[in-house]
Amino acid sequence: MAITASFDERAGFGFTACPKPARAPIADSGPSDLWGRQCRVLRLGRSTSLRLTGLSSNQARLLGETDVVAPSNQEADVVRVEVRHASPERRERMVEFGRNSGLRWEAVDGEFEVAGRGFLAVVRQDEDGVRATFWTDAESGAVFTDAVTNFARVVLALCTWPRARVVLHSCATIGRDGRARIFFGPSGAGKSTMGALARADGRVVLSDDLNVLEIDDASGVTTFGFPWTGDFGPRGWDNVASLPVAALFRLEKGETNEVRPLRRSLALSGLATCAPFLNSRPGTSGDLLDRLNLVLDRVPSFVLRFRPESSVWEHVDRESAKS
Amino acid sequence: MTAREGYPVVARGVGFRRISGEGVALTPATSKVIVLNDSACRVLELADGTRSAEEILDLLAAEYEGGRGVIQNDVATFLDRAIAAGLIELRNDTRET
Repeated sequence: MAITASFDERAGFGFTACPKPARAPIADSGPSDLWGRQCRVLRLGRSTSLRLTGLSSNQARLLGETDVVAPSNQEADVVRVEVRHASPERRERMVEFGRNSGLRWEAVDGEFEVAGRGFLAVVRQDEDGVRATFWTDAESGAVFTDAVTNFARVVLALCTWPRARVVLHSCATIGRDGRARIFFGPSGAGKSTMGALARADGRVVLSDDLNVLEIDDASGVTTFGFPWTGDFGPRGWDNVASLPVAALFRLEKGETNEVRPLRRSLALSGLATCAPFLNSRPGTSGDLLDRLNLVLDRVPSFVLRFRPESSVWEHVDRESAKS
Repeated sequence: MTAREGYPVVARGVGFRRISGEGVALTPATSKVIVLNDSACRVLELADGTRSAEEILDLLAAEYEGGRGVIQNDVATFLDRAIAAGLIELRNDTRET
């Protein structure tokens, strides 16, 4: 009897769970903490909007220059976010958490504290929807827009959860048959490389950063992109087309191109590793595995060992066409 | 407290599913995704907080070939690593919930 387990695989990317339960006080300290009176609505994918209030004129202008500002969307889940000045103690924690440009978050009693470079936020999710307070000390430049973007990624992952969806750190390309191929793997596995190869081959990349998998009412799985589409996806907040997923490929770099079936346990663990935020959320880890397992029931999964050359698409398309 | 002294139980918040003879566990507290073989899955299934490590070892010895002496080290090593990974935690007392 040999007992084996892969204890070294890390979940998530770019962030770790907070090592100590040291929560910031959440009590509102009055409207004087707001930066200003401006408002912007950011559209996050197909059905979620982020409505930021309390912005200064400069912050509002900066967000207006991003790709994701949209008119208010009545059909969307609207996450209401108050933007406030960071107090000194919160600023200290932001510096600590943001040192490695990562995100840290912690869930307690249905609330989430999220911290990263330039911001600290508390997200509350209840039957009335999602609300958040967002403390920042940034008013200008990329620090502010990056802080909002990183925060929005976490919020989006939370909002997709009740809708039978999973956010996946992956590269999604559209094949000649109009269906999506999803490439996943840890950082360095080759997602951006596949995005570059797709573009060079004249293929559309939905995103080489984050994609959503949605288990539909029929027997399929569809995907759609976010406003943040990585290096090779389209720009703009209207990147919300929904496409059926033909196949999932776990990436491995190699000297030859080869596709082989992926053992279910490795497919499941690989997908779970690439499901950011949700895979570190206490209380839903079993449900996340069930949801990903349902995806694997519906979509074939493979290992794609590849070298960065255009001939890789012959292998990808051949296996995708079988499903 | 070592794994030999307490009552092992799958840690709170851990997701664990059996898949085609293997297992996958997700440990939010330590951000780990762990793939387990059939034997490791069996340890997790027996670690319900009511059995000591010694009792788990007895049950496994009855189920697998090789006898207690052969698997003792494997089980102890696995439990130690599982505890360190946040997959298993130890209770002092079987009455704890």
